[in-house]
Amino acid sequence: MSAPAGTSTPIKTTLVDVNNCIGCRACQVACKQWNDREGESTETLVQLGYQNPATLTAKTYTLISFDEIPDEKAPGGLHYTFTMRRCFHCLEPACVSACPTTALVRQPDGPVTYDAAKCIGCRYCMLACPWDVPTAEWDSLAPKISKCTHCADRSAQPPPTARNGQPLSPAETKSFLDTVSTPACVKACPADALRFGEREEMLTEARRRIAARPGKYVDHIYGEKEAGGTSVLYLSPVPFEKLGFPEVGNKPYPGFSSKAMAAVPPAVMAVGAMLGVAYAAFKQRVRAVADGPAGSAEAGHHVEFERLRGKLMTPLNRILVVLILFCGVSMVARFVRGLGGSTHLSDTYPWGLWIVFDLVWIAVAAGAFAMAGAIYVFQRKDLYRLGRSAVLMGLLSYSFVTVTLVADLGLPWHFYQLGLQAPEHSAMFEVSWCVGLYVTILALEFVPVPLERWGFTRALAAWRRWSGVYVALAMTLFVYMLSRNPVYAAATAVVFGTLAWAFRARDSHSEPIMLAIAAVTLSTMHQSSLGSLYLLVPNMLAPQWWSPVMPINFFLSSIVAGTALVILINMWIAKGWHRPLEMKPLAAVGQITLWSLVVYLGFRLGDLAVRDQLAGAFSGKLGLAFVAEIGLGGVLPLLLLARRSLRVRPPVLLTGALLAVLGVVYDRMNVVLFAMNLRGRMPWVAPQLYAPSLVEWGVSIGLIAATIFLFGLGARLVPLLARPEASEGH
Amino acid sequence: MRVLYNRASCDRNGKPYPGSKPIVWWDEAAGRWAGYDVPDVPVLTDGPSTPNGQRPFHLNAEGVGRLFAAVYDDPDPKNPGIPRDSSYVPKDGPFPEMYEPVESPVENLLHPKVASNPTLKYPRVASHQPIGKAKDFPYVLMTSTVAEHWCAGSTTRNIPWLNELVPEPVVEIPESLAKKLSVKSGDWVRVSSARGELTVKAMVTPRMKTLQVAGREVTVVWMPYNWGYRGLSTGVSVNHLTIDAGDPGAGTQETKACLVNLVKAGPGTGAGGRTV
Repeated sequence: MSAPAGTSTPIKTTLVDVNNCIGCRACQVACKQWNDREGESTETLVQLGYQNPATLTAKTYTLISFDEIPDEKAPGGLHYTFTMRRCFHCLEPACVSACPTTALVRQPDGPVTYDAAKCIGCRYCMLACPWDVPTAEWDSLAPKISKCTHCADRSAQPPPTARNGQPLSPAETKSFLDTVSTPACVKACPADALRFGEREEMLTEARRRIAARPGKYVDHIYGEKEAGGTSVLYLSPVPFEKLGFPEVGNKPYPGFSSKAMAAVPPAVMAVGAMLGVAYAAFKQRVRAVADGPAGSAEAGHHVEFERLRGKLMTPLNRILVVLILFCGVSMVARFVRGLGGSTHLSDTYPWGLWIVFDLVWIAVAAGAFAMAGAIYVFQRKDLYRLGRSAVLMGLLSYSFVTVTLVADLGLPWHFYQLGLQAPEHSAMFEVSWCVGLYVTILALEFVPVPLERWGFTRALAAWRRWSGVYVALAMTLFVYMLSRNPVYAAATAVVFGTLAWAFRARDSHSEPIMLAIAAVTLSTMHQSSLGSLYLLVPNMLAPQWWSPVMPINFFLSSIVAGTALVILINMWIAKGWHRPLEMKPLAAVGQITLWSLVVYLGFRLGDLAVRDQLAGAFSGKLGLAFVAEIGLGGVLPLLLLARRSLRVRPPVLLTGALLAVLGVVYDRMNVVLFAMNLRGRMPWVAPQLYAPSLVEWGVSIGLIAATIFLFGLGARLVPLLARPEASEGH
Repeated sequence: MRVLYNRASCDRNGKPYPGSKPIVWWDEAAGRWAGYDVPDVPVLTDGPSTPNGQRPFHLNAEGVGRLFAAVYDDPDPKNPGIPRDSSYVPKDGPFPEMYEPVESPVENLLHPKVASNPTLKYPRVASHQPIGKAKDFPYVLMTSTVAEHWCAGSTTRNIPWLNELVPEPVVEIPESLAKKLSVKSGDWVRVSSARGELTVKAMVTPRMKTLQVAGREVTVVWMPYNWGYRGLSTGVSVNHLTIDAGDPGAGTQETKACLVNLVKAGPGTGAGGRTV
């Protein structure tokens, strides 16, 4: 796809000469005419002169901004400049790299075009674009993305062969191509401010103009190198920063995340194989310690699970039901009023509360995979007591994250496109597939509990027999979808097939190790890929948070939050459901939290230090947020959990776990909202504010309520909680 | 064609004047007029040696420019009595002259006793055509179109694409005057002349400066004339303010220049105008 300049297909390029523009805005109207965009209902934006509308919108693909730039040397003491604002059509576009369904593609000859039929409405492109160009149709019930297409649909027109029955001469055909096949804006321009041609030609022309009138131009062709080169080039009489053009660097944006994404398929195989080896090793050790046949090791840790007694409709659950009902109403409102009508999301904040909620919830739901990994792979049978509740909590959480996504996506009914399209390195695509498959793994991890409870022995036997096979198939599918590489897929099939065969169920006591391996592998991938989502915004996310190793930060912090939440949930269960508080396993989980916190903080601060960002990290308002996040949510819980003598004391463990969870929650909020420099759409003169709407709160809080309620219901229906050990003595 | 009468950019022989940017020229080899622009000649193949090749101002009946002329008729042999073309004769001339508008804050420096055109009769009806004095209306109002709307806007103000670009009239005022009136961009100001008044949004700009004319400060403000009370975009008509003194030659109203006063309008005032 991404053929940089100089390869076989010539890139069609528009040269914008700000010096020549007379501000007539014929381009702005011609653009609307060709692209069939409505006129906007505007008021004079007196602060912006005659510019209107203020920014690119779903109805406006291009606009001219009017700038009065003081310059003593210019006649009258100022430059009155008219600057076209529109999509740059990067040679290697960030939006295309972000798109999970290839709804945005770069055509071989340059234009970056959009196919609404493929779009799921995730709006990641809006975030990813270094120039804030794509916009969403907020007033539509089916909000599509909207951006300049470089009139790719005009150049696609075949030239006519005849006019009024007379055949066209070659000269006339060429004249047709020169006028009709150029973008509407270029055709409309009466002042030679816009030229259209091949990129090399336009660069030559731009250099010629600079050389011919050196005093008239700054010696810079914006777009020649920016973000790896664009197919819209600018010449200007004033330095580009005075026109508000951002410094985006010369590196192509897809490069920021493509390496991380390319690492996923091999990482799946490597992580899976390592987990298999680890399991075999730990299992061997456990057997050696037990010094007996395989069954006895488990027999030593035999745990009885029981159901929760007591009626369902407690006062808390009544409140939860009300919140769930409100969630239902909010969901209806979301689809009746549309995304723009029911939320306060905007072109400035394409992502809001719901994404915070998703990122936070997935991070704290990491307890399920952390516990599965600890219990089975690393044979921490002492934690087996906490396993079932952690998995149910994970299953509910991930399921409701999916529900939130249905609300958050603009075009959720296009979700099947995720199965049909093959984007090259979209983190959103990876997360979608990975979370989707992980929900099935979680469901399979939990399903034996109800099966056992209601005596479906044959189904249970089938589950034991086939879940390993399912894991191998799922991982192979996952790797194939991400890499589209049959060799990778085959290798994955071999790795996981071998594991499934080696760890196949030999009797009814065998462990669901394949599901645990899949859970850890998939979680490693998507927890980190949630961080990869933000790799594409180095220009917007503050340096305290943005890092090329953000995927690892996200993965490590998810273990902190996940394990800490397991502690909190179990303390809450003990308190709320009047059960004995078992400090031994909880303190053991606290130890895992501690070590993951040590690794996470060390890695995060070390990374900042290596990249020379540590010194500046503490200054300013964001410095304060950083200090709060790292200090209160990192170092303090670290100190509280550091000693075993402290960890076994319930208030200390509670405080430590709570702070650790809140630290990660705050981290995700910073990444999504607070530390992001969201300036609105190009030309960044009208950033909107954001406070979540009632519907956004309703859906988010209602789904949390549903999780808690269903968890309580599950605890009453199936044996979820470990029967207290007599020796605990509480 | 972009430049009317572009044949006049060439000499008698159809060659661009030395040192000028060529626009059109006579292509001897091809036997036709050629150029970057479409040649504005009566017949493309009639070269400089033919009468048509020497008629650059071909919209005039005689095809050449005029300084001053008598009544001219081009008789049509087929329809005696109905000339093919006839020329109008300017009321004043023959040479250009500098006159102040009827309303002006300064005297005419060339000839103080004859400030404005002596062949102009104004007011025609004294009771209905007041002339403002600079002491009451100290600022000069200039009016013009905006590129986005055409004339009074009856067509263009019904096109949403164009209304989006310029949705309402404004009065542009220089920063110096804005400071004096304590007006910021977006504030409502009341603009009045001897003939009417209106309230309109201010747009403060560094693009206009206070001028020094005859040792006096002359402040110019500007409004577009494209608005009226009907259409998708309505707004105050600046012609509540302008003067209808006509140019004696063409009869064109002198709406480009008159005297006005500006005051800041109180909060909550919306657009509105009336003729006094």
